[in-house]
Amino acid sequence: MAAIRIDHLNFTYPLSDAPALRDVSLSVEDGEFLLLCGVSGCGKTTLLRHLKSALTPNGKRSGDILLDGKPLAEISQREQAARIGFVLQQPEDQIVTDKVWHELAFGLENLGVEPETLRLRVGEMASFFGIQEWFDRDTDGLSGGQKQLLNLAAVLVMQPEVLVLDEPTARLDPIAAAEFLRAVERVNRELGVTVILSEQRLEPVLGMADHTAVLESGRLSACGTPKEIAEKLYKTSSPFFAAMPAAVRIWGGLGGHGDCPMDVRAGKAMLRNYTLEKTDFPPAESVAGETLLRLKDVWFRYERSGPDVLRGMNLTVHKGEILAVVGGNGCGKTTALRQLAGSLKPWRGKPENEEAKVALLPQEPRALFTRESLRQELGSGQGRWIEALELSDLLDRDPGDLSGGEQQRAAIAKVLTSSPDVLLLDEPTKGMDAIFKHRFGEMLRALTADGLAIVLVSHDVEFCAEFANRAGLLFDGQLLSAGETRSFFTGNHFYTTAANRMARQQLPEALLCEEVIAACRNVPAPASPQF
Amino acid sequence: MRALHCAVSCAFFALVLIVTMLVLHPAYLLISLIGAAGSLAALTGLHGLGQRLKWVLPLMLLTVFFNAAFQHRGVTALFYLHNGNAVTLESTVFGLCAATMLAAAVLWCGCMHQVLTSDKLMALTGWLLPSISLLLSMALRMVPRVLRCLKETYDAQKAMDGLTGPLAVPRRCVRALSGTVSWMLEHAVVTADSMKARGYGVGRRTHFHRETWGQSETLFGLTLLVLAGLTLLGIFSGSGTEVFYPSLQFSPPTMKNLAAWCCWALTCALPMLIEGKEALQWRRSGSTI
Repeated sequence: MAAIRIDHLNFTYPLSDAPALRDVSLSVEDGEFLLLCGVSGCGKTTLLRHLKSALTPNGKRSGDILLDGKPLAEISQREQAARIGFVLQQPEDQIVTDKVWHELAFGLENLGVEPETLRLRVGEMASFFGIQEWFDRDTDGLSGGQKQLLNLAAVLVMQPEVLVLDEPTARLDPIAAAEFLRAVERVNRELGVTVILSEQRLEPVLGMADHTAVLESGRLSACGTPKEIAEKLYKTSSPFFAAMPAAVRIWGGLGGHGDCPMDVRAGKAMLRNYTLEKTDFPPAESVAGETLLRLKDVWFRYERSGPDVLRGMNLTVHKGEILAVVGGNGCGKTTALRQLAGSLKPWRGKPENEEAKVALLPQEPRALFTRESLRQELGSGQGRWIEALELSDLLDRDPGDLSGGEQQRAAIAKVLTSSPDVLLLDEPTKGMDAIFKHRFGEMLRALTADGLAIVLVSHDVEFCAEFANRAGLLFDGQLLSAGETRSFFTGNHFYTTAANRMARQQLPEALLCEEVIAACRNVPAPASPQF
Repeated sequence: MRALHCAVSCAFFALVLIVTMLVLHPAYLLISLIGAAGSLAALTGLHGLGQRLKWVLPLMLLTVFFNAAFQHRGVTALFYLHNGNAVTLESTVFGLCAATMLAAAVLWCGCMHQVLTSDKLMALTGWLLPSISLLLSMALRMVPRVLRCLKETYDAQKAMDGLTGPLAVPRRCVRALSGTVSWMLEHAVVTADSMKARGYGVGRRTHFHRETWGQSETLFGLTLLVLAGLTLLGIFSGSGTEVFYPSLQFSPPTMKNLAAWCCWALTCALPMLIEGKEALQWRRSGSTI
């Protein structure tokens, strides 16, 4: 029996001509893990919201959605609340109450569950997710990853049969995202809950899913096991193939022979069949421009008796370069940026600024917007940036209504209105899909062509490896080995790109999928059994 | 004390605060002050008490001083000020009593803050007014968020708006405020979805709390009931009457009054007794945590 069946669903938003969903038919078996993917704005959220009447948007609709063979419209709100769990994208906004324990109880309180039962169920769920250590805490003090885990637990405490997650990791850093996805996988494997999850970063989830469905402008373009999807996207040369994990992209680039590898391990095994030709990669264009900013032996702590966040940090920013700073959670990346921006004062050492104007893009770009329309925000005379950042169509929109990626671009245009010499970006690629991310990187390059220096702190190793001129690892309050990008990443063991991890034994200098593909020689003939 | 059910601890604090504030008899006030100070020390350690006394003692001195200096009622003049006004014994004693009352009330509130945490207050309002309790919880969730949004917006504006002059700060504040309001509204849309998705509004809500009623609650409740009854009986039968003006008249320490004061003293000592008992139990249990 299919847990959920969608039959020929069509949907059009009011005041819109183009349908958001066109003839979508999909069936999810009981206990299955379905991954729904597609570029931003392809209708993933619209489709998922149809799986719960309370969240379904208004508009013109035809087709059926069945839960356990019964139309959703005939199932009461109360029953739906318990049977279908829904986790949204924003970890922060979903939390309703001030205490972790109260948040866990909220859903069951709504259903009128008696306190004795409630106590047991809450305790059970807190133990399952290891929440008991922060059970007493205020929800406000949790990290982003903890908040999203709390949201998941607060939904699961109602013991749903189906769990729907709409891009739950879009606002999380990769480490917290991987941890969250592992929790979802556990829920699927250990509790047998049917999971329907939409995601843009496919690398960590593709291996978990039983089936994958791809949406392209509201139409279901492919559906099958992850391997079948990878093969189909390759054969139809879909633009969405660029969002696939590195192993799949290399497999495609090499002609799609044999079994499609889904992860680094399988990719590494595949590359053993090839000889990788020694290639001399030119070092990333070194930009020996003049020095604009320098941190020299900077020490900083937030509280007098607190620990030092920066301990003798040295950093130089040159004109026209993209400098990437990578590092784990809470290693002081944001603090370092704010030192560069001059908004925090070190207690020892001195930031040296050669009269460069510095602009900081905060992690929450929303904080920059205070007006009703983007046009008002940007003022006049920004035509060049509006073109370069592809904002012309968005000028009359309210900045608050823009999607994550659009907001990010608008925010960059806004900070560029002060015509800075140095642009500081805090996690700029959060929530961007793979295809747009690439375009965004090209935009940043175009900006540096006029001598603008960009410093970006990020968890996104792949992005930094592709677009930065120099890179460094922030650890223990210091910037370790800030060097030319290729030498920096190839020297690392796991703080490096997936392509490098696959090819490093044969070609340690390769960083990008394209480089690995270009270096591969003697493509094997289709394997024939030998006796 | 912290482990007790919030209903009994709440009843306790209501009793001591009301008696402390309404009965200005020196014996009652002194007992209350000592009890409050001892309880605070038992709950937070001597350091916590010291921290609080740092500003409570000056407050007491000020109260006595102002009352004696500016209140000239009373028949027993101690000495005369240069403007001819008398500093009287009665107004000085009244100042002392008021100061003691103030200090005792502040210290009791300090104890209450330790025992009745926001969780417990929420559980209490949950019984009386369930919907208000949720609203309160949501408000408590909002406050730090709004402040953070305001700060982020303000900082972001400050970093790039290039405003100067005397009007820069107010203009920036107005902008930050308007940005924050629309930002919070966007948040609220998602929060509403999250509430709907978890079945808010589908029927009668129950109220979850983490308080449990056990043997110690029954014991404490009964003790409190008996002591409170005896104390109130004492007060109503005249063990705590006080007259300050025109001349001082307090209930004298007769046998009956002394007994009533003892009951009050036992009431005030309850937190210390409980904390002491718990400490003893802990030591006996041989736990070495």
